[in-house]
Amino acid sequence: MNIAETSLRSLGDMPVGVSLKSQYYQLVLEHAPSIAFFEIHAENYMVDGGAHHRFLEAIVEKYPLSLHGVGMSLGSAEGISSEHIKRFRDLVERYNPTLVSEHLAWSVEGGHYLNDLLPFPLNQESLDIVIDNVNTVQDALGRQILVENPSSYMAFNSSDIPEVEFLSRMAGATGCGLLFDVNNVFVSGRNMGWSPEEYIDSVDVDLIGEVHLAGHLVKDVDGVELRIDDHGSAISDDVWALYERLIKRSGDKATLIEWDNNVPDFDVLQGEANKAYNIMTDQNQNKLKASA
Amino acid sequence: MSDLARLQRDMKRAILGDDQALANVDTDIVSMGLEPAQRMQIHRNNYKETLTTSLKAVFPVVQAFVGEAFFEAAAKQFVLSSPPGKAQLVEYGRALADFYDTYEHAASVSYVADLLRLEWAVHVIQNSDEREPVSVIEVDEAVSNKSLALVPQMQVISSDHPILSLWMVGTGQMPPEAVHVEQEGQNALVIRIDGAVQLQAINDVQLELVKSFHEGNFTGVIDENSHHNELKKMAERGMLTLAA
Repeated sequence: MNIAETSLRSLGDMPVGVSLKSQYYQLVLEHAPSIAFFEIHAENYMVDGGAHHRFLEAIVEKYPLSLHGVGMSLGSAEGISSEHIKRFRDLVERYNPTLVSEHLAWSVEGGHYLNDLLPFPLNQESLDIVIDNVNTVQDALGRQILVENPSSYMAFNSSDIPEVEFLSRMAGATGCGLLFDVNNVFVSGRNMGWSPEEYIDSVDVDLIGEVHLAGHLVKDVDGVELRIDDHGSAISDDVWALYERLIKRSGDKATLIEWDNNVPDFDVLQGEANKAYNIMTDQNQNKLKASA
Repeated sequence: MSDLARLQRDMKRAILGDDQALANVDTDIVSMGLEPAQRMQIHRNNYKETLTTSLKAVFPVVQAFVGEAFFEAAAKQFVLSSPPGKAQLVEYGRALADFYDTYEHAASVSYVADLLRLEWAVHVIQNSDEREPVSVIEVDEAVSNKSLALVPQMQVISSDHPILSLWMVGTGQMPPEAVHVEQEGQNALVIRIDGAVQLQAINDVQLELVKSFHEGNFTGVIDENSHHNELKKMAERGMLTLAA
């Protein structure tokens, strides 16, 4: 079954969600905003009790949930922590999320967690390791996961597989889907000197089960422009243009507005969600006109 | 060791401040306008900033005591020497109190380590599991059945410093001049009741009973008749439950 179709059917007519931050709990429960789903970071809910779980239990009664992990470390040479998988699986069983995702990154070495989405060389050795790790996670969860393309600030001399090909081969070998982060494509392309448009045009859109959109920071490091994926501002016009380009190719995709820092009023996220919805609606209308 | 394992070992060490490891990864990274060390610096900064920000969120009261600059400087040193052992940030910070015990710049404010322990207990109890407390009238039967246990939504902190009074100063409930750090020590009960974490004083007898429960020494708890009354008082405070 096509991954994207599965997700969209579960998420209704407007498959656009937003990050669920604790600042929004009360508002969501009292005003039930018009949002298709909410996404949480799994690690923030890996506690035994307390207010976060109480609110989330009430919210998932009304909304589908996307569970997004940031600490699985799919790129770790030492494999995946069985303790972490267990805690992740407990959340999956407790909340039965519509979408489950993780990152193409590593953060664990020697049992230490570096709390960052760290890059690694893309080559046959790392591909084999990632395939093993994704299989381990999917076997433990008993379901498919989506794996997110990274935002990159460095490249490695030993990389010899292009990122899009790496993702495609990983998905082919494991049956996982892609969480396609358009902002990450733009950030990485600008930082690494490749074309985000070519990346968008070459990805296998049938593999995409969810799309992420977020803002980023532009920094000057000793005269070199660097884009930092900080999820702390509105989505840039460049990223909206790439999203439109993607949706034109892919059709409707479950889309999430990510906003983790400098968290704004909910209306701001709702506005960004409406923008994504309008892009999908316009593309659908254009296709109808073209086929008429 | 695989090439990837070697690279990840060196990157981790570099992020934790090892300059030799930073030199080791230099040849792995493509320059493209910025030196490899400058690119690694992005991740070194991410690591320090993320964990320091997390610690500041967990310990606002201690931060109010020692000042933001002092807290940040100590936190940045701590995160380099004590990387997290779990992915969830909510579990990072327990060892900060032990770090302060030997942190040379905190030698003149020795009470801060216990204040950190108290604030960590508040943080833990906010997110702990919760069990229904036993009622006072159930205590006698539970004692005879040896089925009493502590509720998971409580912790106790014992200190040689007046930590409850200092906490009240840090949270603005008491003026600083009302507390002297040389005052005698206090024991604090941290307990969640109806969703809200409360700090209360706890006497030495109840403190010892709590320790006995933790040590599994239930027989010692019930041997003396006087303990029955204390157990009932603990039940009144919501500290006891029936063992699962």
